[in-house]
Amino acid sequence: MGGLTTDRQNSWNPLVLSHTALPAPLLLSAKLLVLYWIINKDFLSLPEPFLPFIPVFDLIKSPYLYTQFLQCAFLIFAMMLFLNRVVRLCSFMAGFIIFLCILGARDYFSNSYFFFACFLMLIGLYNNEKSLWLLRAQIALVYFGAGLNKIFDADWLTGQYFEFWAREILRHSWYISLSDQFSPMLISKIICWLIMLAEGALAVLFTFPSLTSLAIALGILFHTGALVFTGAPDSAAFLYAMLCSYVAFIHRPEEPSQTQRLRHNPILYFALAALYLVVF
Amino acid sequence: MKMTRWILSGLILSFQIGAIIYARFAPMRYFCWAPYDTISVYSVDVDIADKSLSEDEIKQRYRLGSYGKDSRSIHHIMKILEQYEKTYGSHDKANITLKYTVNGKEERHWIWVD
Repeated sequence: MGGLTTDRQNSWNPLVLSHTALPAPLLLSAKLLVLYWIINKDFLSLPEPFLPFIPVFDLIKSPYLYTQFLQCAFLIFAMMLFLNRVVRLCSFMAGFIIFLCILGARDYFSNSYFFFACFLMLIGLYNNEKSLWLLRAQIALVYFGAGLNKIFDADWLTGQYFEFWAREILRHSWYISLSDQFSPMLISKIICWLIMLAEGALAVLFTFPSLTSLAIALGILFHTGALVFTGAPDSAAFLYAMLCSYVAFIHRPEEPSQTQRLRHNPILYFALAALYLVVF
Repeated sequence: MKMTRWILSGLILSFQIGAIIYARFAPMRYFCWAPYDTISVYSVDVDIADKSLSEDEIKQRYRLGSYGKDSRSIHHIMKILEQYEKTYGSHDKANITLKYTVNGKEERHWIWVD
């Protein structure tokens, strides 16, 4: 599993993932999550406190300096994480900085940013194999919360939400022509229920390690579908964050064969994910 | 140190569970994993001392477009407007009218009078 040793003997090469305090898949996941903030330059738009969730942020004397400090700190922790230095601390702090910024600015809240923050912090708090359960719980909570919110919403149960979204906001011609073939809101109702079902299934599947492959496949299908359908930047960020979190559960054998070494080569995943990021 | 990590991890997850439960009793949807649950179309009008604020002034004041659509609970926008007027803008005595529709249903008005 890459060893749970100290960071003393680890490599400075960002593409090497072994010999740190984190198992290779978790380190890869953390690096990919942080990479998003660096490549997209999102860390440069970490906001000054504004209408915070907790009033204490309004007491900061110099919001500008505070934000500059957080941006610099994020960059330093990100670089140290890439160079395999104190990886758990760096992952935790990168997530914590994002979380602080969300708490400090109500208008900055987004589900994808919040997920980045939570997952990075949880990776940083990794203790041993049992900690993977916390990461599984995190992903399951996302889908459980999303499904629960929908199932208590009358507009989701009747299909009203999807009908309005697809017809009036996105104006998908294929949906309009398909929907018009059937009784009003039948198609939208079916799609709403399928979405709720998928989220419920994902919440359950991620809690069973033996079903992880199935969960990941369904998750990729689900989020890619959402991105293609909405074309929204929020969906792209969420898809990327979820894919990075799935990487944490990639199984790596202790002594891989040549073929397995290629198939399970973290560098390969890193390159593919980076390529994906650039493309979208 | 190990115990601290377990406790912190537990707190992070518990916070979210709390938010999911809280969302069952409140209209806002922060930290409870509700992306794209509603589509609101809204417009905001703000009067301060009988003068209407322009689109740019509203954007600058609330960091919020004066009209548009939002894929989260409309109560998030109400909360931003309300919190601003109760704190940073409490001396301005602003009057706000938020017109909105949720998921394409009937138009509603939310009014803030200071």
